[in-house]
Amino acid sequence: MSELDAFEGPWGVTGIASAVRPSEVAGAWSALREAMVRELPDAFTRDEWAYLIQFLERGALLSFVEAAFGRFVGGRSAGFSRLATGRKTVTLVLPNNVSLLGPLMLAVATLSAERVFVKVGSRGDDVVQPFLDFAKRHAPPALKAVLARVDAQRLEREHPTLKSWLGASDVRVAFGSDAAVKAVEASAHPATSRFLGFGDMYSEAWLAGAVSDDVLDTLIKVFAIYGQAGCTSPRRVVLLDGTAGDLQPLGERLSARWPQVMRRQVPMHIASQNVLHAQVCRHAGVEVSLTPGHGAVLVRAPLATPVPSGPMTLVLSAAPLASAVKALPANIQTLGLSVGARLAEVVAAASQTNARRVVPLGRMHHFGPVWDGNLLPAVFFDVMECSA
Amino acid sequence: MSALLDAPPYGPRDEAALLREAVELTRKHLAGCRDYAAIWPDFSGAESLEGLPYLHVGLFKRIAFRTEGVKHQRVLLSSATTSGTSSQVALDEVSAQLQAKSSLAILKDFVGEGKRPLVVIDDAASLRQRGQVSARVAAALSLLPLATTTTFLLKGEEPQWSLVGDAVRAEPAFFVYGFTWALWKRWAQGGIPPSLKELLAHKQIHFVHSGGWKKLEAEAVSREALDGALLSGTAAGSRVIDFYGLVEQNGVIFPLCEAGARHVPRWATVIIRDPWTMKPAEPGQQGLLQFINVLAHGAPYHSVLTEDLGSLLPGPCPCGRSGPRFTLHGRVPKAELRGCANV
Repeated sequence: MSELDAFEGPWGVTGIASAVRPSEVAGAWSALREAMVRELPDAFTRDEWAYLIQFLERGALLSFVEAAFGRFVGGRSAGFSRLATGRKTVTLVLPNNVSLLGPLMLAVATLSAERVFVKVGSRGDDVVQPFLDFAKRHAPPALKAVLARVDAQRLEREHPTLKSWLGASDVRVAFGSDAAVKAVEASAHPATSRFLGFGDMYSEAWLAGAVSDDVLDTLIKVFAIYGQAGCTSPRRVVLLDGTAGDLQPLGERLSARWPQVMRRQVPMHIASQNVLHAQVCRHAGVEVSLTPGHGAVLVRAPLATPVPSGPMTLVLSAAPLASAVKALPANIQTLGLSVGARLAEVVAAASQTNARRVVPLGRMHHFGPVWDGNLLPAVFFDVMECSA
Repeated sequence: MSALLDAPPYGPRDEAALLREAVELTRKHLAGCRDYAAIWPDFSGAESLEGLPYLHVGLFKRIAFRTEGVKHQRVLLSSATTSGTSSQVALDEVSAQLQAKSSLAILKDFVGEGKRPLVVIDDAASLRQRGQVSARVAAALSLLPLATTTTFLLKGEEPQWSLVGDAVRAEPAFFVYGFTWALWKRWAQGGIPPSLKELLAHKQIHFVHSGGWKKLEAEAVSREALDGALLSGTAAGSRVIDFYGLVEQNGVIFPLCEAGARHVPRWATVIIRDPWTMKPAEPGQQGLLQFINVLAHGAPYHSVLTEDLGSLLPGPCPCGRSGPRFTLHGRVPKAELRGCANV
């Protein structure tokens, strides 16, 4: 047997018996970082690009395989207790407005798949195509080989090309609205194909104890990058065991810090939409304020009060832990916590909910091998026991 | 009824009277429209037009504002373009009269007093919607008082060129009204039969259009190209008049003057606001257009913050009209927020 990438866990050593070696792919992506630090494409913010650079580091990418098979121990040609084979063909269906999740999932898919098809949004700006364009322009030879396995196209959801991709894919990954994800799932596919659907999800931030300026700054950063459009963005902040009276000063502190944390003006249409949504919220009878520069709409409302959603509307509520747990919607995805000494109690309570991720506030958007309740390598690989 | 409408639209302005009437109208709407009062609960008065409450134009797609105490007649609907949702503006008898008077006065200032046949690039069937009227129809209706006869070019999708010939044969001049893209598609590129073309070569035509340039920009058709195509083969004195207006400011229209400016009549005003602070902008500085008029009694659409960009022009206009004037720069550029949910 030729040398395979080997990963060692409590069950022994797993060899990756695919045409694609994860360590080589991870290394190829990692080599791109040299060019990435020198040039920021227009489509990305500085923070997004910095995150992507960090994500594409060889060890960080390999951690996606390590999460399932154990620590990477280099190349071996014998002594395997398991052999894992990457599923050959993967199709990613991405929304028009896809966040960094698009490029991140793409990079992860190339670690195992021989062929990666990407349906990029059919209209509007996206970040996948600019990322691929950048990568192609600056690719070291090893990455060129990886990119040759990627076919990204702007397609409508009903396009025959997408249907043919899905019809031949061993793994189908779809991001989008529930309806869009269901439509992709229902599209004809091989009987053994696996499906990962990331539909409409909701996230919250929970704060407890003394809320420092650092916590507020983190909250502003995790919210402002995607507003309500990101499934991992907090749409509501719950001040655990706080009172309604605590919300006004919290809102005032957030407003005061907002321009210091988000130094760039929001685009004009966002500012205008926030003026609109502030009026919509006033009409709905909730207390509302605009942050300086109209970067966001802060609404103070009890948990039970329906608040009209707006792209940059952040709801502030105060409630006991039990009420916060009870009020979580079924599609709760990420709970971002800054709860100090109450961590154990809060995590225990959160474990009784549908939440897929309970993470520190600042890591709400961090993409990892466990995503939306799925261990990603378990989807991208088949495993053979070979203890005999 | 506003006394401001008794004088020509671009004559000397009485800003104090405009403010007084606008404040009065605001109070009336606050007292009679709960939806409006919920949004501006603390208004007690304004010392300047800039201090008046405004409604963001997007609210009219979400809330059907109505002020009690007036007889509402029908609902004016905007064309549902990008969002697929129409703005709704409740029309009433008093406002309808004021708005008709306003648009007629403005149009007369640009096309003169003379009545002549009107050809509308639309289907007469579009008029027959009970209780509702589209922006397209409302714009065409504003020309009716200047029309001796009205002819609709389209029946369904089919142009009825013979009807146009019959309507204008005996007249030296006539109007053609249509949405900008309809005028381009149906008239400029509509395949006018040669016999009618020959007839039109001897007619003075005033083409009046509204509705924006988005579709034509998508086809890379410039103003010069549209004007050139429309005026080619018409008699001397023919003109193209592009007017800008909003369903949410019905009755106040802003035709482009000979010097490329849009003038504000004395019963209205324009404020340019910085989108990030809402502070009024200086002349020349680009911002969101806010329009105020004193014609809207059925609902609080007398002060509307738009998503259109413009800037105030300083100094007197070479065209001779007085009062504030502005340049329209188009819609606020939009881009979707990044996220995970919009395939």
